[in-house]
Amino acid sequence: MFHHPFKKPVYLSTLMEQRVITADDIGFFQYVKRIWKYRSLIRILAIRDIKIRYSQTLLGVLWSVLQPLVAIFIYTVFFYYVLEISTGDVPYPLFVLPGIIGWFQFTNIVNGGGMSLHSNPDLIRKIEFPKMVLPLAKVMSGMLEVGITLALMFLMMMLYGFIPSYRVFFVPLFIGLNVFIGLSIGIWLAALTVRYRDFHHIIPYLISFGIWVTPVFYPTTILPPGAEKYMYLNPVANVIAGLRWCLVDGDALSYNQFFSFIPVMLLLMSGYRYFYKVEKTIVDHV
Amino acid sequence: MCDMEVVLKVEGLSKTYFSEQQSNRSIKDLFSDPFMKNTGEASRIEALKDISFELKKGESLGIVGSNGAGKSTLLKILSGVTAPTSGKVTINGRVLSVLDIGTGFHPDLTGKENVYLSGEILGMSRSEIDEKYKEIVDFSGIGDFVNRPVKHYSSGMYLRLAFSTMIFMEADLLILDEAISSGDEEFKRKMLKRTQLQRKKGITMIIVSHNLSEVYKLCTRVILLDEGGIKNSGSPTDVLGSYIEEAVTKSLETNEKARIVKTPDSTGASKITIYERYWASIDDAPKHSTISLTYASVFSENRGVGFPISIDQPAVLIIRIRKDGDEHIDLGISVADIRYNPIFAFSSIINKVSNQFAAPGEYELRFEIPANIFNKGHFIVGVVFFEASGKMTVLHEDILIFETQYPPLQKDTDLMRQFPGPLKFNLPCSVTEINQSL
Repeated sequence: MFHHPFKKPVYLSTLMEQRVITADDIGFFQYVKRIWKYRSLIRILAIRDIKIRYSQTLLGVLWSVLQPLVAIFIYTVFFYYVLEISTGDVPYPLFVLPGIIGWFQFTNIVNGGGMSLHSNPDLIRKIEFPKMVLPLAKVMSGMLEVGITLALMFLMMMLYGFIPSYRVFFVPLFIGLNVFIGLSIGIWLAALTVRYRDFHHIIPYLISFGIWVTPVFYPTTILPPGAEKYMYLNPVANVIAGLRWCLVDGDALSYNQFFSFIPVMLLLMSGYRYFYKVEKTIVDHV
Repeated sequence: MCDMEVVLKVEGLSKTYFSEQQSNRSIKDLFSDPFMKNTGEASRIEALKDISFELKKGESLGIVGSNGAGKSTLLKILSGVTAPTSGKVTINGRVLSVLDIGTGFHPDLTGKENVYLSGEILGMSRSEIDEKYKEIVDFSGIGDFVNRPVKHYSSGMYLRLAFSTMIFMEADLLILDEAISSGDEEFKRKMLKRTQLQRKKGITMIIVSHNLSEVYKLCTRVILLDEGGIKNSGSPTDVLGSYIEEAVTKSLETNEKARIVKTPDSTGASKITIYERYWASIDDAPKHSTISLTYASVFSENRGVGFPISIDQPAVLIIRIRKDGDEHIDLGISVADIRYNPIFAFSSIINKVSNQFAAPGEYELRFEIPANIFNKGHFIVGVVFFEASGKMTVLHEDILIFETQYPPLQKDTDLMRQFPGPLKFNLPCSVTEINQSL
């Protein structure tokens, strides 16, 4: 073994690292600290996820551009040309893309996060880490798609001569909110899927029906009067509305709409508790 | 600071599994028992019961025990993969636990990508892998294949690369689960050497292995687990010796139909010796296709069956077989030390007697063991046979266990007693002076 003379291997014992393993539960903040300690693992797993997704494909990362483009094309043909949905001053492709960004990100997290415990038995059985790292890695790897679709959005805005306002800087806020919404469902599903394989089948349904009750490809103005406020009970609808507000001068969000995030937070906290409970014995089940 | 010398401290560790079919719960249970309160006491399995031990820096601990004794549960808890039910583990320093090889490997990624990702998943830093990447690839010996997806690898290449990735990681405590037993022979040798090197560097190790000779070579201390508890712990010689002995006893007890002549050995210690073994009924005898093993014994002519063999006396090994078919077979015997390390083997191919027992019938084979072959010790005799195709089948792994002793007359020559190794024989030697002028 030859080491670089100036680069001694870092034995962590020299850093006095001590680890204690007991049956005791750790608190929420300690858990968050543990996740922070394992942040590089999140990064690695996200990179691994992206590499796996595009390895052995001819188009590689181009698929991430192609998918939203195809979606835009289909939605434009059906909803704009065939059904003649009006989106006011905003060209339909520009209207639909924020919806696609929000919805794709949400479903990616629900889907990937929901399957994350189930699909990584080798890691769970063989190495030690806070299991929340797995859905979080999915969130991170999904950010690549979000970035690509956002870039596509700006490109199309340029093509349409649409000048964004200062509100563009609020995009990260809504992307971030969307992460919490996705995780609030994703970690519940992840933990439930370990014991109840039924949820494995529920996820696709949830996603394919969800898009109809979320204003992704239609504006809420086409809904019967009075239905609109029920639509905004859906937190993803509010994220999409928020993205439209940022990007294509959509209507500002009302206070009421932010209330839809209260159940999200409750779901997230209860999801964390259930997830933690499952995590403790997961090795004996996967 | 002397506390830092203790790398691992395990206190009162217990683990209970509730094997109520939780993984098969249906969605109905979700509504009737949403918080899994109903984890019935009916089928609890105590995998570990109140385990305590300490490991100091540089020590290397072997964990042995039969299947289900709790070895892998213990390793899982030590690696933090699963939590104990009660008790505490304190680890000072960095841990590398190799519960499996190829953790984090993905078939679609290239060898290089996998080395980096797997290395980082195991806890190496990027720069650390950069530094060792060349060594890792060289050690694995897979060459240019490293730039191809691992799904195109042979299973041997995959194992080599996966193992090389792990073995180059620096750690204060290395936990190895059977992993050292995989790979092909040449690679295994490299592996063992490398592990021994790490031992010499003062790394602290925990090894779980079924290969007792490996444990014997690598470990300074051994813990024997039995039904979740520490049954025995101490030096490898003591623990492994009694473990093997017990395993043999158990196999004798479960094989009740065999009639065995058991004699306590001369030291009065509990080591078993079996100088003669036969089966009352041909149906119970070890059998493979048309060959049955009916009787075996080892003795020296001057003392008779049932006594230790003096190393200066010739001995006789008798094997009786019954053959119901007429195909050509060769019979072989193997002699191993008490840790089942082979010492030598002999086959009827060598003295060309196989033709004499080709036809159906009962045969007695008499092997003459010359005097002055064995050193003092215990030896295990096994019986194998070879089909015409060369395929080897073990008929009985340990049909006889015999003890050899020094002849009483040489008690005074102390030097004789210090010869190491299982064998001890004379090498005739002549001396010629080749330069008289000095």
